[in-house]
Amino acid sequence: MWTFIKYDVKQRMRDRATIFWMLIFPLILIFGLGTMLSAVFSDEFKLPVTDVAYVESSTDQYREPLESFLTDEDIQAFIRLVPYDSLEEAETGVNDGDADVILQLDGSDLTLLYEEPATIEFDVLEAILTQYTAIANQQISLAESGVAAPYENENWLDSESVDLSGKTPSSLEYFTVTISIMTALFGSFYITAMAREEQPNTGSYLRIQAAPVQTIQYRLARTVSRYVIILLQLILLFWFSHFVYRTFDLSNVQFGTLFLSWLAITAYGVTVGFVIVSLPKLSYTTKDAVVNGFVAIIMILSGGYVPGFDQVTLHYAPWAEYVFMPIFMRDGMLAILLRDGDTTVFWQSLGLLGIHLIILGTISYLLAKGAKRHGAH
Amino acid sequence: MPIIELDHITKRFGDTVALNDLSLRVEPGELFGLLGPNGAGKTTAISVMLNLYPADSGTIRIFDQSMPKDELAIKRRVGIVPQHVSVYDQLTVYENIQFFAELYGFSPTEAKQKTEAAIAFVELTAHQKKRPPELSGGLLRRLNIACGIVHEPELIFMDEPTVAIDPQSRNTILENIRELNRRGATIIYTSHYMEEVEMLCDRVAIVDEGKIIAEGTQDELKDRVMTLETARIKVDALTPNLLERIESLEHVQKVEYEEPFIEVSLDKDTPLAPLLDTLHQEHVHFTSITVDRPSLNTVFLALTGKTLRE
Repeated sequence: MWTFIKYDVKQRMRDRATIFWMLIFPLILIFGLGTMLSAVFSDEFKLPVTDVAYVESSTDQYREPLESFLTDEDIQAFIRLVPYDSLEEAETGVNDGDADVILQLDGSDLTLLYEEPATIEFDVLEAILTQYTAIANQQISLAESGVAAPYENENWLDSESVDLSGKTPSSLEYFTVTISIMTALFGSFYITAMAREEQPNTGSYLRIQAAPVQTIQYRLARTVSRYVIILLQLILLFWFSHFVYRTFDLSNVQFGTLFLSWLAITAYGVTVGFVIVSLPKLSYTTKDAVVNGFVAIIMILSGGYVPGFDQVTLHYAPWAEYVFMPIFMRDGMLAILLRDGDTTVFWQSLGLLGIHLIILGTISYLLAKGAKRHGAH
Repeated sequence: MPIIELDHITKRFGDTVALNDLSLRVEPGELFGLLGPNGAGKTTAISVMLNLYPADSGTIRIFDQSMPKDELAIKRRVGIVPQHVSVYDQLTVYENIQFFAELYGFSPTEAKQKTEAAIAFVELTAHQKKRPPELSGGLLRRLNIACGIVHEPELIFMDEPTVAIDPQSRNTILENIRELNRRGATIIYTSHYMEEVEMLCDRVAIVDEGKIIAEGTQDELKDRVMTLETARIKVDALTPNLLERIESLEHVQKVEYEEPFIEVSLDKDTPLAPLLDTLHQEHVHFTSITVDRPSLNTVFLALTGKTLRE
C-alpha cells in the first residue's frame, strides 16, 4: 500500500495540470485578491459611516450616559445618529434608506435592530454596544449597592475590548478560508480521475489488475495519496496567506481543530467525488462535467469567486447554509482561526459535515452496489 | 504437468462471444504462439487466464493452481507485457520499473537490483532517467517489456509486443524474448504477424472467432493443410512444347511460365528428379531452384478462408 501512495503522490506532484489547478490557481486567486484588497488593509482605511436611527423612550438615568457615549469622537467616526420619535418612524426611515440600523433605548433595554444578513459594520456596532451595556450594567450594579462609580465616560470605551482585530475576519481571511474549503472540494476531481484510470484492461491499470494486489488496497492507497496532496495544498494556502499577507494571528489559531477541519472538509470533497463516480449510466466525460459544474456552482454560491456572494445566496435561501457545507464550515473554521472565536459554531459545523458525509457515503455505496448488480446481469 | 490448462472457457460481452469453448494446454518452458487476426480473442484469452475478466464458464488452472481461487499466488509468478504500452508518464523509466518490482513484493533494495537487471536486459541504461513521453516507439516497447519481466516471472504473457515499431527494435525485442525463454520462462506470445510466430514459437494455436481451430508444432500445422509444393526454377529459355511435356509429367498439377521463372505445382513430397531430367534432356539451362513450403498464413487461409491481416 505504501508503494502505491509513494508513487501516486510522486506522479501527482509532477503533473503540470495538477500543479497549476491545485496549487498555483488558488495562490493566484489569493494573491490577486490580496493585491486588490490591499487598500482595505492600509492604515488610512476607516469603517464606512453607518446611519443609526435612534429611538429613545427612557429616563435620563439611562439616556444621558448612552447619548454621551454615542457622541464620543471615536464613535462618531463611524456612526451618524438620526433621531426618530417612534419605532415605526424609524422603520420607515430604514425602509426609505435614510438609516441602516435602528438603535432603540426602551427603559433600561438597549437593542440594535437590523435585517439579516448583517454586514461587518453592523457586527462592529453590535460588539461596541454589547461592550457598552456590560460596563453600564456594572456601573448600575455598583451604584445600587452604594459604591461610587469608578468609571468616567471616557473610560467606557475599553480600547482592548473594542479592538476587533483578531476577532472579526478581514476580507482576505474570509477569502482564504473560502478558497481553502473549495480546494478541499477539488478532491472530487481526483476521485473521478482515479475512477477514469480504472477501466478494466486499459492503460497502466491493466498491470495493476495483473499484479498480486487487492483492488481495495489499491483504491484505498490512491484515495489516501490524493488526501495527502489536498492537505499539502491547504497547508500551502494558509502558509502563503499568513506569511505574504499577515492574515491570521498565529497565536489565536487553534491548530488541532484547524487540522481536524481540514481532514473533515477533505473527506467531504472526496466523498462527493465518490458519489458522482457512482452515478449510473453516465460516461466519464459526463461525470467530469458534473463534478466541474458542482464545484463551480458551490464556489459561486458560497462566495468562492466573488466575496460576499454567499450573503446573496443566504438572503434568498437561508437553508443553503445547511445544504452547501462550505458556507457553514467556513464560519466554523473562522471561529477557530480568530481570537475569541465561538468554537460551538465549529463543532456544530463539524457535526453537520459528519451527517453530510454519512448521507453522501450511503448514497455512494448504494449506487455502487446497484451498478455492480446491474453489471452482473 | 502443463503450466496452463484451460478447459471449455466461454466468455461473452453482451451478444458477442469472445471465447467459445476454448481449451488449451501449454507445457513448462514452451514458447507458445497464439496466432489469429485482430479480434480473434487472443487478448481476451490472456485476460481471462489472469482473471482480468472472469470467464463465464469453464475451468482455468495455472501452475496446477485454480484461477480465480488462487489468484494472488498465481499472479505473483506471472508477468504480462500488454499490447498497448502501459506505463506511467510522470515516472522515469527507472521509477516505472522499480514501481512494478515493488508491486510484486520486493523490498526497495531488492527492487533496485531487479530494476537495474531489467534495464540492462532491455538495453535502456542510457535512457533510465527519461520519462516515457521522451522515448521513441521502440524504446517504449522495451520499457513495456521491462515492467512485465522485472520480477522474473516463470510465465510471461506477451500480447503483440512488437506492434508499430521499427525493424531494428523488433529484432532486439524478439532476441529478448528468445533469451527469456532460454532462461527458463514459459512464454505465451500472441501476434497477428505470422513471421514472428514462425521465427519464435515451438508450438502454435490458431485462434479465430474465439475458438482454437488448430494447434500443434509448425510442421504439424503445415502438414495438415499442405497438398502441393511449388518448385520455382530460373531457366534461360522455354518452348511451348516443353511446357506441355512438363505439364504431362506425373504428379504435376499446374505449370506457369513468366520469363525467366517457371513455377511448377507438384503433389506433396514428389521427387524433383523427373522434372529436372526433362529440362536437362531439352538442353535448358537452369541456375536456381526453390521449393516453397506453405507459411502459417497459408495454413490460416486454408483453415478459415481468410488471411491473418483481414
